[in-house]
Amino acid sequence: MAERQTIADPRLERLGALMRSADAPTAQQHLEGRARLVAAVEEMRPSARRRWVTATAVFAAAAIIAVVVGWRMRTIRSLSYEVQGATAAAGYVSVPSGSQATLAFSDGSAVVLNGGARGRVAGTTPDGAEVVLEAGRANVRVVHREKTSWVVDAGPFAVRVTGTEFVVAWSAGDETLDVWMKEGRVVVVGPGGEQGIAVSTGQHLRAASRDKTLLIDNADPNATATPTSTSTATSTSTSTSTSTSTATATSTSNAISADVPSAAPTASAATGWPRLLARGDYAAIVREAREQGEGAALARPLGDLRALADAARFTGDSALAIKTYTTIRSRFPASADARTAAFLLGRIAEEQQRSPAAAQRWYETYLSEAPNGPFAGDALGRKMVIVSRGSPSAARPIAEEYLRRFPNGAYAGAARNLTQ
Amino acid sequence: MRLLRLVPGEKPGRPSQPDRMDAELVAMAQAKDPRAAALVWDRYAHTVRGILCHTVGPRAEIDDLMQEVFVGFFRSVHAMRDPSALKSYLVGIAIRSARTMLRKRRVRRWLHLTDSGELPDTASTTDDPRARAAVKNLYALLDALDDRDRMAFVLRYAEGYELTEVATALGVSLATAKRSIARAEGFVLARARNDERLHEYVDGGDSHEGGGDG
Repeated sequence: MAERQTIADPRLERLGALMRSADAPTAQQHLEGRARLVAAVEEMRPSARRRWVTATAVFAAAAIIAVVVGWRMRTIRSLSYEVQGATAAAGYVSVPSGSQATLAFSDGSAVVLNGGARGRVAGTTPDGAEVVLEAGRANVRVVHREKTSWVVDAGPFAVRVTGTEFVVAWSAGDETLDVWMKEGRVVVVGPGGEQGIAVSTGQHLRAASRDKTLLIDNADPNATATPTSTSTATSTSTSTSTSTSTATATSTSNAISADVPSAAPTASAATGWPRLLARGDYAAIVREAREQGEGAALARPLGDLRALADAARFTGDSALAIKTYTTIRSRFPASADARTAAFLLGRIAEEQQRSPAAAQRWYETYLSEAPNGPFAGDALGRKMVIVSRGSPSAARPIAEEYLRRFPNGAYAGAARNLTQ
Repeated sequence: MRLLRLVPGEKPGRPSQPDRMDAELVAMAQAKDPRAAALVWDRYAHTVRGILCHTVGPRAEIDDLMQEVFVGFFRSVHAMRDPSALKSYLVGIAIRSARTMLRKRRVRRWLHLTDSGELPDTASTTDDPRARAAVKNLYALLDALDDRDRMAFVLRYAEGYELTEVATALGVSLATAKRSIARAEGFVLARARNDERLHEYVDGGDSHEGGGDG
């Protein structure tokens, strides 16, 4: 209304009234116009005859398709499956805490639902299945065949699989998806990655639907030990890989679970470096940046800087990654990327530079700048792990804080051990 | 001639708040419900007519333009993302149609297809011959403005839009809308003062019979 009050000039109001007086619709005009529109819109609709012809054609086509499909279905059958280790109600499996259940498919593929997980098989085809993970963590091993087509749905995300082995976890409360790749390649589609983000062997992806962030890291080789180690009881399909990690998982479970969530960003934009990043062509991004010169590369827009930093990190060029993340923080200090960069600088310091003290400082920086950010749990958990290596007693208050804030977080096991 | 306000209580052309009825109408249109055309027309014919008529002036082709707007809506309704934004959607189509009409008229004028470059007028609905003449002169004056300034002036003073609403309807920034309106105001007032029919509207006091809020 404040803007409206500035119209104080009666001369302009009078001219406006003059324009309004020039034309006003009569009832006849209105009714004629309505009749014309109704007729025009009706014209857009297929006529009854056209509808009949269309319906007949569709029916005939459907009949032909039905015959062909019926003949084909006699030779091709959809996958079957059975639930082992739990009772399924109408295909819905809820696994009690401390237990696990296996969805064993007729092609040899298996989905092991860990304790506390809930899921169901939404459907099967001759080439695969659609499994819905409603909550918790699952080990997935899909046997690759000629036309394999599997989908694991988790919240708003879909993990498309052709033949691979990975661990997937969905937290409905945090709305975060984690995928740890053990072997092969999957494509994750969802908020922030509508065009699909490829995740390959050894990588870990964290996708947060609230922030529409998709983050990829080279997962710690032990990262999948924790979820896998719980799958030995009934899952023959995963027992081989489990057996090698159970021993270490038992003795060092705190460290292992603490290493699970690691992250570095992958952009989801559709052009330039972000597109190359989404395709996994990290080397091309770094090469282009080198060719342009560091100064020019670091002067590019935020989306490109984000992609460059991630690519440098994935290719092990920690110097370039640090420069780029630092540039993001100096050029775009108010952005969410600046805060995320602090966390990722911590990861670089910890993983690539083996400098836990520097890493701890960056995690603390991140926690002070984004106390409720998407990586707050990870930053706090990692800080706890670093501190605990030097002094478990000093890490206890951090562990208590962690359990208070993230009772079901990835570091909860390590935190509980520290507080006991 | 009896004047009929077709949508009582509705301010012409003013973008509405997200509206359940709008969403229902859009859903009906998307479902090709045969009742949708009449219902959408009854609800928004007045709004669309106001924008078209006040922008291009009272002319015979207004009725055809209205059909274009509403048929355009029914052709594109399947792609409409925000069903509650029916009114602003129609207003957007109306503004585009009005601009197209203005461009066509410039071409006609350039090609000398008519003496004035314009199609023959229909009679203005006002019975006052002086007002009719004033209207004709006012639109001749508006013809000298560029399309955006003209649209901004019309939306502001004929349709009663807020500045922010003008900006939104024209797809420009608030600052740009303000500049357009200011340019149009200065131009119109200066020319109207020297116009034999319009000077009484801009030189007269607040008590002018055609005056607004005084």
